[in-house]
Amino acid sequence: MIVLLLILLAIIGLPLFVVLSAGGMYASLNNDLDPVILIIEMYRLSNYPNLIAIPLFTLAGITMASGGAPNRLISLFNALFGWMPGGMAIVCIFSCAFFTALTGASGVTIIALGGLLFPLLIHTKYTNKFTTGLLTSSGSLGLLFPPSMAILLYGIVSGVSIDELFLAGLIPGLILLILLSLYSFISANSYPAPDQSFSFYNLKIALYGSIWDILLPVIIIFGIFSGFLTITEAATFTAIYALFIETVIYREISLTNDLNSIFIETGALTGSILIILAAAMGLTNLIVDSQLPSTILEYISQFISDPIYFLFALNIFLLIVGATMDIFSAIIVVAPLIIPLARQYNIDPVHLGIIFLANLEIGYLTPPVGINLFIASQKFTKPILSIFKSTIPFLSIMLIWLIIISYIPSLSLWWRP
Amino acid sequence: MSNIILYATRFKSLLVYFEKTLIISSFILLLILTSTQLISRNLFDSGFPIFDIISRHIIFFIIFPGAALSCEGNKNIKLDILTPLLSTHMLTTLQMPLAFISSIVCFTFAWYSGSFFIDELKYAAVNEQFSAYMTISIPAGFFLLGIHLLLLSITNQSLHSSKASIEP
Repeated sequence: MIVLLLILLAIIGLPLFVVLSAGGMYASLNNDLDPVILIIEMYRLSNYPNLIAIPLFTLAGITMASGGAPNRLISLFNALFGWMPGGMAIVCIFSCAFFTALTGASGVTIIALGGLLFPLLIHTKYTNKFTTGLLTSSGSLGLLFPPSMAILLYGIVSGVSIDELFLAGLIPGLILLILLSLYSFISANSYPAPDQSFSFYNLKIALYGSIWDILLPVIIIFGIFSGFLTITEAATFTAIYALFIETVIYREISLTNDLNSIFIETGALTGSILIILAAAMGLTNLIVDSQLPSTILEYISQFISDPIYFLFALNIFLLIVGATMDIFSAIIVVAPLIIPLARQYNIDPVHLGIIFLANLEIGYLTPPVGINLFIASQKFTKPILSIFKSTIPFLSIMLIWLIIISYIPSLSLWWRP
Repeated sequence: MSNIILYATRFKSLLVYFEKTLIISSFILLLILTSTQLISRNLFDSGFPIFDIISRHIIFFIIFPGAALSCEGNKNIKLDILTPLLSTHMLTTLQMPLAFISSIVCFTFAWYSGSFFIDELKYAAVNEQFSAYMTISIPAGFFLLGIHLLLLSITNQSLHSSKASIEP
């Protein structure tokens, strides 16, 4: 009865952290346990050194979004790809992926880049439908690239090495960018040829203008994988670096006027995500202790014994999860249930992480909770249904990509000997 | 009644100011501590363990006020499956009871985390006393969230409309 009431309250808009906290309290009292155990579990968060990386990477992303990084990145990718057929669409795909990796796919990409790219794409004679579809789909593209907040959170929740997840996401993420770029290239036949030609001079100017931005992911990847920096140190370095380039080098952000609002925005964003993690810590432990995953496993194994069919069922399930839950809550609530099941079917936990995040990346575009649809609907003042229709070609490509990366584990595990 | 709402609104503005100040100070402190650790580990091959403990606890001083501010600006994460189908009037009507239920849950958690804090202080080993004191952040955080949500339910500006007006 109480569980049903909580589900009802959740679907009419009770904050998710309250639903999980109340659920945890009910579950502990129901099992004759003192609810203080929920607080003990919550306090365990302070034992995760990598948790600090989430607010720090987010701070870096929001600092760059508030500064001039969106303009500089678009100029650079425009100089690189803008001369090609479908070039402006490719500019959009790469700029958004780069930016989403830094900002954590929280909707910031469409807000920060959408307003800049929309008029450019329309000016290049792309149709309204293609433009909105492309921008909406691109809002979550860099989710598998370091230092994505989704990967950090998945690593913390699942206990899988974050370094390995960062490596594993590189090839699948690049394949998606290439597939979408190919689609843009092919569909460019129906649009006029770009009115700009490739120029080394323009590329040099754009590269010079954005060199500090471009260096950032290089430093993060090199720093982490060379062993010079831990994840937390990389996050600290990234935050300080972003603040330095935006306040001292580019002078887009004023230390006195803008910095406070950047800290507050970062605090509100990370607070809204991590409070769910804090609330779910106790509840998920109670669920795991209650043997629910093994009960589900016993049930599923009656119908599915082959890992291939399990992956298929898992993808369907995760697509439904992605369509009904936001990515961060899905990672926190669903991942602890899925991981023990997948282990039984010999699915590598790193490969599972990439499949999990890829499904949720697609979930950004699927109603009823696809956040990119809502943000794009507000940003481009169009009905959600019309936005959804415009994303269908991109969504189809992403589904094909999902099948590819699900059934070819070596794409995620390429770095293993 | 209107006086209560007026006082609640003023108090909430002060609370928002406090939450913002807490977030800004926590971020500045976090950046100072983690960058000091980064420099000392990579350049001098040493570090300050106490900085590490403080950094890992500061996260709670960002999470709770951040969550409160996200409720203030209706940016908190919800399932929102039915809400797109509800009218604005219906949504506004639902805000008050939802914020009130949320505040009750937060106050209950503040109570339990308060007893956790007392136990930590009582039973912590000598070298863990500092960490035990830092656990105050959890009951204080839930209390802060509870007060904020209660004020939202009184003013009914809610989870829905208002944006905090005071910048520290």
